[in-house]
Amino acid sequence: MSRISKTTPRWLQVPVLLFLGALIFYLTTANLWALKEHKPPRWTRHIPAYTWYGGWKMFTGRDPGHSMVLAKARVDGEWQKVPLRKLFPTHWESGPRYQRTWFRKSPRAMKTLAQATCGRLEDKLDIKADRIKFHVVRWPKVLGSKKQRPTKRSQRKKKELIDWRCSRSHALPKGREI
Amino acid sequence: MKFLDRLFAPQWAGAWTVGRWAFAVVALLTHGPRIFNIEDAYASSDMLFSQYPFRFNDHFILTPQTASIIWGVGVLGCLMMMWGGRLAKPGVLVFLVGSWVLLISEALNIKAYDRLLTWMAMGMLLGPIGERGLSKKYRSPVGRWFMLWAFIAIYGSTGFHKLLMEPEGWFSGEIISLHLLHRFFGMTTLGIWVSGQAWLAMPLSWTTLAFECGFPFLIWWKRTSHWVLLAGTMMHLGILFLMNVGPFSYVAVAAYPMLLHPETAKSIWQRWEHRRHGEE
Repeated sequence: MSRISKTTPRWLQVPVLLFLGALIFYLTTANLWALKEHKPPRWTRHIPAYTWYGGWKMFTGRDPGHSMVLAKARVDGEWQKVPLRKLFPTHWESGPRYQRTWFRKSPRAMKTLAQATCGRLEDKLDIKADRIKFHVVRWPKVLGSKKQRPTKRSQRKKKELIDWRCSRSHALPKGREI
Repeated sequence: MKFLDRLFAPQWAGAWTVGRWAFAVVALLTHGPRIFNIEDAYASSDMLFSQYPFRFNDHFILTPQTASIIWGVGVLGCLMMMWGGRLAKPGVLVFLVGSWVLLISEALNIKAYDRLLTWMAMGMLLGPIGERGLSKKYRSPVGRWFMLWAFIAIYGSTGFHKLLMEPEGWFSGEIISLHLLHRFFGMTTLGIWVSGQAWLAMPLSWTTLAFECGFPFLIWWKRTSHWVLLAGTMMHLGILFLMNVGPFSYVAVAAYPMLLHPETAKSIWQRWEHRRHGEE
């Protein structure tokens, strides 16, 4: 082969084909759910990371409603709204961390958030709360409308996520406590 | 053996130069802004999570200083890729280390475009990006094959899922309209308007399905590969204007030079060169 035209050496060609075969096998099994297989093969369920890395699920299903996580804090016996965006400014395209569905379904993540809210309220806004409550509000989307707030009270569904006393402590990874 | 010779016949490699640059730029655009969230997200002392499969924070906890250094490592990787030559492939690895340490430290927000960038990085490592003067060279097709299969999985999987699981909602355009109203991913002025126009949402939905389901088959042929990629570019431009999915659109399109059939890429390159020299 010349310097201008080169390809994979002959001794490597069969191993490369085997590698590509393994890649195709991996991608197919990681995405089987897309072909009417609601559940991935049983052996892949033991390793959730298997489907996580090579599996793709983006804006595929129906998403008929909005949801919003809100918080309130008890300060001197009075409940007041917590400005979550001020306390936790980082924002991804999917919104802040705590607005994601799986986050609010994880008791551990919610405890971390609640305790961090107690601390940040004091550190950033000089507000000493003794109790924090988080809840999620859900309401339906309205096609074509800029105003997506619920117009009727009956459209709103509210669910409490956590009720947390700031005096409690919570264990973080590597034995840290807040 | 003749079969292997035909299969591994060298292909025009100029597209890898364009692809290397495109990849380095989108990697920098994705990784660069993380510096603004170091304290709150990547080296937070209170919002600390340990998430499967990495559990990074069980072993190491980044401080704002170490996280900033690691961010710098990721940026250095992007610059090495831009420099090219012998630094290009090590640059891909350096970028992967810099960006992934931050991602697994934050633990919760490893996005689709982060995984896609990693798939593309693996394709880059298999391609000939470490050489200069690629527009005059022919190289092994293995890197392109890898990229093709990664994108076949992405588009094919999402397309067939839509077609088989939610056919009515996708045929009517209702599902696409609902996604345009997502509180964070959606709610652009144009997207809100489109969500109320069923006559427009329906063809948008159909063309998305046609592209995603057609991609795994049509990308292989010289006659169709450029049309498929043109449709993909239009779809990603549509997503860019109608939704807010961060860098996903331009990360995906950055791989298109490598996905294009090498002969078509070569003729486009030659036409561009001809025009450039003609003007001189």
